[in-house]
Amino acid sequence: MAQMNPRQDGARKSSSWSAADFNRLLAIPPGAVLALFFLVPIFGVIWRSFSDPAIGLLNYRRLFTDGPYLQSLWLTITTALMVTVLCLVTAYPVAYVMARARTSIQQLIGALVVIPLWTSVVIRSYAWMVVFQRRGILNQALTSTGLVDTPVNFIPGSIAVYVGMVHIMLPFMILPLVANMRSIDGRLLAAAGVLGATPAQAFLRIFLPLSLPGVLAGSALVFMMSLGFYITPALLGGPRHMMAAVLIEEQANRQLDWGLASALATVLLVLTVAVYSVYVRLSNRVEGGLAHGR
Amino acid sequence: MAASSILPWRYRIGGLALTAVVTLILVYLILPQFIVLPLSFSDKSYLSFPPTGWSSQWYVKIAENLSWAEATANSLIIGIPAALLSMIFGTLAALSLKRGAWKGAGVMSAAVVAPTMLPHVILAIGLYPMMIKFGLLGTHLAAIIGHTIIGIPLVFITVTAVLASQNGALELAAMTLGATPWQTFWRVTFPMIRIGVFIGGILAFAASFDELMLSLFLTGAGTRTLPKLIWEQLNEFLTPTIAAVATLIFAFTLVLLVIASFLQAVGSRNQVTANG
Amino acid sequence: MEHRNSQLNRRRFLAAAGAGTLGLATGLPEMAQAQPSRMVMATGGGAIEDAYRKTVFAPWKEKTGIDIITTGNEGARLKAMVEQGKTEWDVLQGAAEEVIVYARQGLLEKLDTSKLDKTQMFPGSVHEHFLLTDFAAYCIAWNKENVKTNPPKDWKELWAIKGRIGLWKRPFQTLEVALLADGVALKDLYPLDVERALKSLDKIKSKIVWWARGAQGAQLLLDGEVEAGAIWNGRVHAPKLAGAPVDFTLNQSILVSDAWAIPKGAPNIAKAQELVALGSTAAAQAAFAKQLPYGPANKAALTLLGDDIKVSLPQPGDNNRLLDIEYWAANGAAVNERFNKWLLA
Repeated sequence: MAQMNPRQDGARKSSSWSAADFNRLLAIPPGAVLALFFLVPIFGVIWRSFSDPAIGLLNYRRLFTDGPYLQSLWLTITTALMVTVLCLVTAYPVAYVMARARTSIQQLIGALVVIPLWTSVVIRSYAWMVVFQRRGILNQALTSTGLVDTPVNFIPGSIAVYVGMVHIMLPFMILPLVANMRSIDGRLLAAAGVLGATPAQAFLRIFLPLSLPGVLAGSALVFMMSLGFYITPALLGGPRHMMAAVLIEEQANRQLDWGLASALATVLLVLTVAVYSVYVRLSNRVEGGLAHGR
Repeated sequence: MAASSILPWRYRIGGLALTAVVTLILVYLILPQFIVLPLSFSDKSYLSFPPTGWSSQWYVKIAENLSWAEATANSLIIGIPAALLSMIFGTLAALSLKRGAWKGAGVMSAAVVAPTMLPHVILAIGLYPMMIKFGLLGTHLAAIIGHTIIGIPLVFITVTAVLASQNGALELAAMTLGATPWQTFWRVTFPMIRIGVFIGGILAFAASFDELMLSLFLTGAGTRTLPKLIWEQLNEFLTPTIAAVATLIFAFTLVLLVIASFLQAVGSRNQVTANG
Repeated sequence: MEHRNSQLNRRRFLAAAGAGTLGLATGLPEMAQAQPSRMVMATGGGAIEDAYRKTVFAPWKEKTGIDIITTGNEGARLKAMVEQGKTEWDVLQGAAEEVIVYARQGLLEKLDTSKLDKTQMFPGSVHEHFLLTDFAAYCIAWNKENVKTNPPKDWKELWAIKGRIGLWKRPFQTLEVALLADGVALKDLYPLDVERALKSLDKIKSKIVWWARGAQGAQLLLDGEVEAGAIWNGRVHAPKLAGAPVDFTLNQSILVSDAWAIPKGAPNIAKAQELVALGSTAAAQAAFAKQLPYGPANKAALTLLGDDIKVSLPQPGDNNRLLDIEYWAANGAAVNERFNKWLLA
């Protein structure tokens, strides 16, 4: 990494430069695959955004001056952020319990987290329609318990959209968190207990900081995947839930205006790279902090 | 858990509250399955909830109509190799970028993860001429490569998160004691990151299993995947067939999970006996 | 895959050879012509493809011995194929308002309509690059449990309905019906007064439940999530017959069409022309109308159908209007942008 923390740098210099060399060699296979099948096509897309229909900034002028595009981009980003925060809040306790439970409980939770992944997003969105409809399960429960007199219109609405989207993204937050938490050395917590820390102190001072790489990884993943949300907002959302991916698909597949579609995609791409650079910076600082704390 | 008996009561209440919250979230995760299940046994030819009558006709329809079986096969033929390739390339990329002391690793990481957010139709348009150039267009392999590109970031990020909480000291120790890089990887590094690789693989497979546009662009005419069949229904009207398909997949997953945990239980019992 | 490619190449070669000798071979027996073992047709899949299978592909196979393999009809894939000179489709079916965009972008071959009896085709269904094959109606439908009495007979009444209204979240057809609701006559619809249409939609904005996909729009009506709304007749026809609490009227509907066309550089152009011609025969279209409630573009097909079938088929007439695809081809991009902006405002 660009900002390697001092301890690791020192260690590397003193003993084994060959380890770093070996690790660099590892980059060749994935680098070749990604260069060929991602970077080359993507440069094609970026080039097209400046050259179709004519060379220049035509498409970008259209994006940034008028029309629904900027607003849709803004909406996409705020929605993705909101989904990420909601996912994190929901996923953390699940991951915490799962990572520290005994094997059988771990398997049970793991199964419950993984099973929704195999069900098509289309079908899951429909299931949420069934829950949130005027004659849906939720409204029946609300009216029969007398909490409301007339059914609530949840669809279209933000609650339904977020419940549906968080449901889709939750496994993508829980599982990286679990992967990280499982690699936290449990003896550290035990040691803290022996030294007189309460469980709350042990959690806040030791477990939480050590789990931050997982938090950052899961958040980065969920945020980026949420930028591409497509079908769920369309099925559960209202007029304003018009995500950038929908506009891109419309331009690419129906209007066949690939120049504009490419420009929109390029903006999203730049945005992702920016967000990810922040993530890398943050996670390096976190790791540096962790190393220092140890 | 055993320690909980000596903890003050307020921690036990805290523990109970945590259990309750987690249980609720797990119910939320699994809830759609239990809505889909009764839908699949509906006697109506359209989706209506709650069903007014019961019938297994939709399962018979799936059994009779080969296209669902074919589509499932295609989805697996594409999804499993794509997940495996994603695991290999994603892990290598994570190891290299995390432990390789690269300058500009941030930008390189961003290039690895960028495919996650790109609308698949854009990636498909970009990949199309590449696949022609390599003579792969119209093959399953083309779709496998496409899905590998969107799977790599998932493995990469998961493995990176695991590597981040390892400090590399064990690897250094092994190398100092004379282990080759290869031995160090298999004996020291891989066992540490195994869970990340495995979980990343699950996510990569899931991403491929529900991907529409890349397989549509890159496989040949007549090749249908499950998302494609579901997409077709979404154009017209939904029938209980898709609920039945979802339920079958659910049941199949359950069976796999039960077998896996049974095998594991047997394995660990043997181990205990051996140790004892 | 090697095998598939070489087969493809051989097919293309044969097709090219066939096309070269076509001038000489037209009068000769079939052996002189290129005879592919299979052809590829891109369709929307699902029920419409099943109907084609029974009504067009089966007789085609009987006549020529050629199997039809189907694939998805995404416009972007068509453009990519033609751009790269690797067209794999022989024939495509798509929504007419999308197919005309393909035509304007030069992605389609010219159709050979010399043998077609144009007097039998409804006006506006024969184009240089594509043929309309059927008419579906974007029509008024309602949930019978929610609307027990006085269902809306026209768009004005739909707009006035107490309760929620389902509409398609795209400008095509939705702007048309908004103008009709505002009192514009069917014959005066085009060119659309977009701002007036949006103002008309503004009046009911809080009542609208937008749907993005046909199945979703139908489901809103079936589940009683909306009182009434706009939907294509084919999406509620079968559920209505199956006893779902839904009904609809074809009055004042906007007719939309499927179109058949041949992609530029199709592997078997000569055969594709024959297939398109077969698809527009009265016999095939009458058989199709028995499968799905879409009116035939070939008027002669109507004489082959009983009244029980005909009553549910949308046909161009005084109480409806055919979607003006020329208008949408010319103004679609701008109007779409305006519509999306209005949605987000």
